[in-house]
Amino acid sequence: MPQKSPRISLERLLKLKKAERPDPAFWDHFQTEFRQRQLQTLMVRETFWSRLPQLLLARIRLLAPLSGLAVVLFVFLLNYRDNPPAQVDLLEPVALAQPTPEIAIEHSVSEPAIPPQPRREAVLNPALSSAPASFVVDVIPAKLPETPTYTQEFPTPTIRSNSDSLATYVSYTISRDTPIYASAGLSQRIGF
Amino acid sequence: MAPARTIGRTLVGSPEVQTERDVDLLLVRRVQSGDVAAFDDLVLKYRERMFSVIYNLTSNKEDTYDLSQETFIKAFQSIGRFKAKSSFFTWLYRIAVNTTLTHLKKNRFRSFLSFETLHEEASPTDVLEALSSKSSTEKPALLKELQYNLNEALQTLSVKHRTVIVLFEIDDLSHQEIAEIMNCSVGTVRSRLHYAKKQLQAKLQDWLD
Repeated sequence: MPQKSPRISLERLLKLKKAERPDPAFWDHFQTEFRQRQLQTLMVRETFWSRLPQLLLARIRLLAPLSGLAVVLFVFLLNYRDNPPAQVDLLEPVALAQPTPEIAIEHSVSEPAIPPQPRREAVLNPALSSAPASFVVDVIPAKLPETPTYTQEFPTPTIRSNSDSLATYVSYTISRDTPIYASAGLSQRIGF
Repeated sequence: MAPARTIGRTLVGSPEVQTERDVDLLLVRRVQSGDVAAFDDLVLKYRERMFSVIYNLTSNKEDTYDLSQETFIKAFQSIGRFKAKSSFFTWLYRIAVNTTLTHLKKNRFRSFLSFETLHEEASPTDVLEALSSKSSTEKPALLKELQYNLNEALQTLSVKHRTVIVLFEIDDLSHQEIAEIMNCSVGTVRSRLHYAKKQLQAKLQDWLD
């Protein structure tokens, strides 16, 4: 520890810090490295700016089809939201997809339909429990597509049958809660 | 003591400073117009001062090297945005101080000391004489011990207090310049300086008495 003697002020003592400095050779190395780093920054900068138009063009080429697709999808969704498809259209394919009604039809159609035929009752297949509440199906002979007496009162789906026994059209009303009714020669709704 | 400090410190609005400012501004304009080599002159002019302030803030020569490089690269990259509202010198100092303070904050828990060579011939003679008369220890060993104690004492100060004492007592900047660099009032600079000195005096008691 230093002995007691002439006083040194803090300010003068701190001036000693100025004497702490690197050797002159150090600055050559410092300057060289700085120039290298400076060049690196310049190169990076120039590369980026010179490639910017190219990059933008490439992006546009890549993004154009995607943007077009996005616009088409957007328009479609907008249109879909404003004009949703009718309920009947949605239900009809589901009803027709059920295989059971066709079997029921075969049973009924096996007998010749003579107008005015009394109503025939069929047993509802349990698989139909998931079917819509009710719908009407017209079965028309394939050979006689348009009989003069056939008029469609409602936009009902039509099935063409090759069965020989079917002389005229038969209209079936299929209901989930009641038995299937069929009436020949007259399109009508039964079971509501 | 006091006169020495007055000589070292230049007044902000003095003609000398104005000339320096103009020279710097001319170089800056050249760099801004695409003359990259002109930046070399600015580096040559300020590299030692920047190195000094960073070293005195960190007391680590390896960190100082990296931070000095970083300071000049940052200055070079953003010189296009320099609007000459302040002098280039103050602007460069601000970059150096901010870069160093960010580094110190990031590494506050893993800092260690690593000293530069203390050149005896560059040391103030009055201090050396006073120290020699105080102790029987050989001068180089004494200087080494003092260097360690000085740096250690500086590192115990808070970053803000350390910055003020380094800029004022070692780099001879004025209160006004320090206020501009640290983005605070002159009063705050004075107050920080007062407390920093008080703390240092307590830490370096053995060397001062």
